[in-house]
Amino acid sequence: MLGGYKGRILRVNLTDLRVSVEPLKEEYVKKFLGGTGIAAKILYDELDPHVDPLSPWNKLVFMTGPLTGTLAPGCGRFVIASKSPLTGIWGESGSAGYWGPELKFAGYDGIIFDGKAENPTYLWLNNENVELKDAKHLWGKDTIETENKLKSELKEPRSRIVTIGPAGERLAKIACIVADGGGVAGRCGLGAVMGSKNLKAIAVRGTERVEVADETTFNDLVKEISSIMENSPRTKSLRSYGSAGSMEGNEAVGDVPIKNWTINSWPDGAKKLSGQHMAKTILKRPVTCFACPIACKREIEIKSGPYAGVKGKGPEYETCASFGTLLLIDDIGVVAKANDLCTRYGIDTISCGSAIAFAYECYEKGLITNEDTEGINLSWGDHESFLKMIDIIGKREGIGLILGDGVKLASEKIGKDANKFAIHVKGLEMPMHDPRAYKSLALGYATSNRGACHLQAASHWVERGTTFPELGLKEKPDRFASEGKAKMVIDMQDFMAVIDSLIICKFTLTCGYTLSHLLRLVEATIGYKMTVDEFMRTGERIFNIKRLFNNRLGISRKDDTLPERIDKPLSVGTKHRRPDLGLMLDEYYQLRGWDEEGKPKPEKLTELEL
Amino acid sequence: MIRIHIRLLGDLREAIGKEKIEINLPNNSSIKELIENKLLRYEELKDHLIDPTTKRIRTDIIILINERSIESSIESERVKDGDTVTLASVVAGG
Repeated sequence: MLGGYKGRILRVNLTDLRVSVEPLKEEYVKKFLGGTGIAAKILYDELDPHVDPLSPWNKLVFMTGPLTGTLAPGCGRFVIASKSPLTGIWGESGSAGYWGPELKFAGYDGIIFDGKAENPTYLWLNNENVELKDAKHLWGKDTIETENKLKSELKEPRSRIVTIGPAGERLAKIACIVADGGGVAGRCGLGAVMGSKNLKAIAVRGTERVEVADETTFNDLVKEISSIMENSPRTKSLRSYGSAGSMEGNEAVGDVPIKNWTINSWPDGAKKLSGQHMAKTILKRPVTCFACPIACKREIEIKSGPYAGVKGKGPEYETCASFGTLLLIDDIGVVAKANDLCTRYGIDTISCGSAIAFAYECYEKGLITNEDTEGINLSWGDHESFLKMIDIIGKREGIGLILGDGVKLASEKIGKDANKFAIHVKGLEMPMHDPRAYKSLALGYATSNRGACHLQAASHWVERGTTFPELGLKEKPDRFASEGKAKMVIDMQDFMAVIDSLIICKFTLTCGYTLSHLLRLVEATIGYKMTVDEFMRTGERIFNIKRLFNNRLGISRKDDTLPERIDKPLSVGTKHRRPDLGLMLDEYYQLRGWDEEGKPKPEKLTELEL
Repeated sequence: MIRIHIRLLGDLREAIGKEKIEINLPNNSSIKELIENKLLRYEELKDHLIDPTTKRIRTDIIILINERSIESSIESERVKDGDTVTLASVVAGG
């Protein structure tokens, strides 16, 4: 097998409680690299596209990449993919931490689950030993309790755990999967897929290192990249303040959504929700993922006030916005408390904050009343009702039952004009960056294969001035211009598709990692040279196979849209402009080699060997 | 001479421990001159404002004159008396 890979995929049929090991196909490796690329190929080939996502016939794929578990900086991530119950289309989500490397150390590149266990079950991988074990005693427990209990009963404190919480067990479509006590694969409701299979957790312990093709070159390169990253001011900022260190700058340019995307300015709120404020108040220490010099994760502890006692993983930027600005809450303590609740219940904080903001607006406009909320007064900025809402979403009680299925389904159930307040694309709640502030985000959200996502392209980084010279992105473009944005979004989508396949944390790309480093790492790890063209062509292939997955489900131009609210600027002038989606979309389809309906043309598929 | 109000956000503010600075500049000064001749006097801001590779002013800094963000070159953007210039460094946001 090529370096970096273990060459083995574990297949688990939960209906029959049968496990088997199969070789990682060389065709997959050559054409799709790993991570999200191989997961997409597996699901495209094996899954009946029209399967109910919460039925036993859906499949759930956990994948690592060739760099996962090596000492290359920022390679602790793994990817989970499935047909999403939240969107009904391609679903993927990633998490960092230590679980992905541990899976490699146990001897596997990935795991494919299908079927449904008769009773709650967990998978225990201890190097060569594979066991499906009874999880009845864990069912109903939160993610932190589950992890602690598993480590204790397995007598393996160094095992790594991914688990769902009560929300995933109860099939909330915004349920997430939690790794390492707080690393979250949040998006697309994949926690509900685990729950639908009666799969509570996967515990892994491995001791076998990941071999690379050229160890001397690899080690020299790791030293070179680590030194650059260690000296980068961006590394120091992320370590000191986490991703929420960007909050105030983002607010200043109108990037932060406020009050369910209806306001574009709240500097005082942003300051109180910033990573800088967190560092002065509740931060205990920065926490690192496997072999990463950045340490952007937060460990927090609240020592006084109404939320005293809350401790553990702290909120990132997305959560500070979705539980803060989006709800007009400016208290980092209640945001940290809510983040802890969501980690324990196993709920995606972006979708959860969006669902609660949606409910607040429905309540404000009289579409729902106290009768619907069972007496909870939903008022913007109120802490008590906010925390109650998370509880009922996690427990699937009252109006929490419909909110836990995301804003699209909730708006359909509430009816009237509720869809106007449901801010999503293809059913996935929008992340906390405003496409009215960065035009490329509008196109990226509309065309992202998993629904609204800022990380599938991260093209707004270029509009903020992060350059990628080897991709031809050498200068900061005008963030309000439409011209040239289609090409930029395509390049970044294809680039990020490879990043999610190798798999490397995207934050490293702003801390000194370059494409040249990546190409040298691929050669030293896997053992073959890749040119920039081959690298980008691989990304294009991966992006397109996901589009094909979605095309089979009827996705076309009609779905590549933005919410009506986002299609209009909040004010003339300084912070927001209209996204001009139609204009950019025409150019995008043409450059992608797709037809007018957004389907890859036959000649494009031939060119990509799909 | 013109008087300019500087507002530093996020880690720029934390670096020097001040959110607001008042500075005097020659008439018709550019943003580039403002940074080079005034802000870089603060040793703690150098890492945040200068690209370690090119030794030039970083491209990934958010700069606003009053409420308007600077999208064109920092050489061509001029400030006038009484303007507020806001600066924040960009950090990858989750």
